[in-house]
Formats: sequence, C-alpha cells, structure tokens
Amino acid sequence: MAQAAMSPRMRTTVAVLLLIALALAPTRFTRWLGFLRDPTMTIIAPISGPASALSIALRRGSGGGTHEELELEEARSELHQYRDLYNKAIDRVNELESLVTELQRGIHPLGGYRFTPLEATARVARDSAAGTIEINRGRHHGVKSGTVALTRRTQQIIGVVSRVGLMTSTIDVVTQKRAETRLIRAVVMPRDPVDPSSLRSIVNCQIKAAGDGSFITELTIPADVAAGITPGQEVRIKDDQWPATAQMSLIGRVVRVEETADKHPLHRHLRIKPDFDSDLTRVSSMILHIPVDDGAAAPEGATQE
Amino acid sequence: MRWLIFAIIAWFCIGLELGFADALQIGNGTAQPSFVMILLAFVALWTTTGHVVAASLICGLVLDLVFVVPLRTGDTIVVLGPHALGCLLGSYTARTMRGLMFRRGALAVGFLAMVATFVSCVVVTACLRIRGFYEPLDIPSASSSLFAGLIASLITFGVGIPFGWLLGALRKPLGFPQTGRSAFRMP
Repeated sequence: MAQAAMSPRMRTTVAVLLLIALALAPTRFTRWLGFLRDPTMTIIAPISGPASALSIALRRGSGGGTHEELELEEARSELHQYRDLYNKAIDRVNELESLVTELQRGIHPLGGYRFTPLEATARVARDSAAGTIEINRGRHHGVKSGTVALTRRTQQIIGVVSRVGLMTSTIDVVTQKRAETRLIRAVVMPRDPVDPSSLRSIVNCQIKAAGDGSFITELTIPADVAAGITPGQEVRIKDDQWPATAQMSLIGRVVRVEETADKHPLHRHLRIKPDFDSDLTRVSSMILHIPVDDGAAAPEGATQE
Repeated sequence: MRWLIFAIIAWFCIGLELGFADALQIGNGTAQPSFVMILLAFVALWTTTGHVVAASLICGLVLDLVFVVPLRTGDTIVVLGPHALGCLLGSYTARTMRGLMFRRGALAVGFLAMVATFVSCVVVTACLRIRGFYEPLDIPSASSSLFAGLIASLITFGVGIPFGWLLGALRKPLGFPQTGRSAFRMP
C-alpha cells in the first residue's frame, strides 16, 4: 500500500523542528554546513558588489575622495618612510640573524615579510553585527587566510582575512565593535624621519578598539612619555599575534593625549584614529598583502613585491 | 506565484541587504533596513500560506548562510536556522495581519514589513542568546539587539513604502492577482 504523502502543515512542522534543531545544535555538529556559504556568496556577489559600490558612493567616508592630491603626497611620503624603516629593520634583522644562526638554523630572516600585493579589490557586502566585510577576491585569486588588507592610498590596515571562499573572502575589520576586548600591541612612531637612533625612542603600547571607530590604549602611558607624543604621530602594529605581513603596518594616528578616568597626574591614555576614515567598512578599494611561500607562483592579477 | 521571477527578485533583495542597506542605516549602529523582509511582507500580502512559508524558508536560509556569527575566539561560524525561523514567523505574522490592510496601498507593505522585521529580530535574538549559553558567541546583549531591531524595523517601514510601491509593479510577473475585487479577496 502506498504511503500517504505528508500534509503541508506536517511538512511545515517538520521543517520548523529541523531548523530549531540546527539553530540550537552545538557548533561541532553543524560546522560542516559552513561549506554552503561559499557558493551562496559566489551567487550573491554579482548583485551585492554593485549595491555595495552604490552604498559607498552615497555615504562615502570623510577620508575617501577629498583632497586626492594631498592624500597622494601623504601616501608617497609614508611609503618612503615605511621603506626607510623597513630597510633599517632588515639591516637590524640581518645583524641579529648572524648572531642567532649558530643556535637556530634554517630560519630565513625575510621569510615572514614577503608578500604579493593584490589590487583592485572591492567590498561586496558588509555584516555590521559580525564586524566583517566581504570582498570580491577569494581562493581563485590566491587569497589565503591571514592575508592583510590595506587601504590603497594611505596603506592603512583594514583587517585580516579570516575566511576564504572560492571567489569571495571575509575580512575582520580592526575597528569592529566586537574587537573591543582584543588587545593589539603597537608602537608610536617618532615624528621625525626614522633613523636608528629614533628607533630606540619608539613608544610601545597596547591598544584596543574603542567601539566608535577609534582606538585607545589599554594600559596607561607614563605622563612624561606622553608629553613627548603629539597628535599626528603614526601608530603601527608590532604584535606577534598578527600575521607577519601586518607587522609595522599603519593602524592610525594619535589624535589626542587624554587624561585617565581618575585624572591621575602621572598616567595618560592615547586616542588613535585610523588614517583613512573612522569607518573602515566603507572603503571602496583596497590592497591585499598575500603572504608568499618560497617557490609559490604569484596569484592571478598580482604583482610580486 | 512564479518562482523563477521570485528567485530573481529575492536575489536582488538579498544583494541590496548585504551591500546597500548600510547606506540607509542610522548612525554607526547595526540597525539597517531589511529588503528581504519587505519582499516577504509583499509576498505575504498577495499569495497563499504555503507559498509564504516556502519563500520565507528559502530567503531565511540564504540570510543564515551569508550572515555569519562571530565567536569570542575570533572565528566565525555559520548558524542555519535563526533567520529562517525569523523570516518564517515574521512573514506568517504579516500573512495573518493582511486582512487588516488595504493590500494595494504601499503603506501596507511598509507596515507589515516593519512588524515582520521586528518579529524576525526577536526570533534571531532568542535563538542566538539560547545558543550563547553553551557556545562562546560574541554577540551583543539581548536588550541592545532588540533595540537595534526596533530601530531597524522603523527604518524598514520608511524604506518599505517606496520599495513596496516598486514591488507592486511586479505583481503581474509574479503571478499575483491583478483586477476586480482582488484587493480584498484573500487567495
């Protein structure tokens, strides 16, 4: 005898019960469902990409398209400064490497710093609750987990790729609200051109997202040290917990030196804002620094650096 | 209902929700309009319960796939269910309330979308809060989520009026009733 078909009401009930079970099941049972996200994003990206571009055009961030020439000058200046610092740091690494070679063999001193820049990347979606953005570059373009995303003009760090799909990737934005509890070890760069002597006067600090698009130091800075810091000084990441390609990337500039909540005379906080904009999720294009393994081929559309 | 046409419109709405909705958000918060709920409210106005349920489940599952849930470990996970259940309950509420509406008015779409968005927000918040008891989910408190949902539903109301008017032009391609007393007769 043929089995009776389920009524529509029964089908709906079964579907609801299944969804409740999926919604409440622990992650270890449902993690495998994540593979469905990749094809879904691939299908949606062609429409969400233009919609995202329109959104950014309508509500462009304050640092987006104005004073382009000034920004270009600033970016060039920063590029020179960064290369200068890079060369100095490499020189120092080489010196140190000669000392540790006897103890630690096989470690290439530049291995962690090689990257391939991938340009013309655009946002296709934004998840404000998760503090992530989706970009139109994925595994097909050579993107890897841990790839660092920077703004095109100012080389300001946007975030790190946390999930890689075939054609799209997810970036955790550094200023996201849920990152308020995560500490980033950073250095406040001297205002003067970097040289070996000024490198010794770099101020180390731990910062965290303040939730309003800026950063604030987690631990206080001694007032005498803070007295030597002026608004406009660069703050760069120097944190072993971050990918090697993110080291010494610009995270923002000091906007003010603040008093502590208890107005302690010997302690100060630093308020740091991203160089591009307070809302990094509205960036219209970016550059990805894809870590390079020795002997690996350059990804499609990328140039070796 | 013509499902191919619905799929194209839903694809467009989900794209708008992912990419464009933040242009209409208020301030720096997470409250932004839901184009998918406007579509589902429109569908709930004009078609049968079975179609409303199916459309809600499809759109909700896609939203579950695209909106990841952050963990305190820094990772993100895909949780299937909260948006699907939210869309289902939200659109079913709209389906139930449509007898109170003048269906041809764009205001009806906006109002029902507002109600559906808030109901959906309540369901999503409840699911994630319950899951948060035994998973390290990095989600805001229930009160702030519901407040954001309330603001989002108000924005959806504002956006739903013109968007609902645009969707009204697609009634024929979608296979919804066009003439006579159909504005008052329930399918």
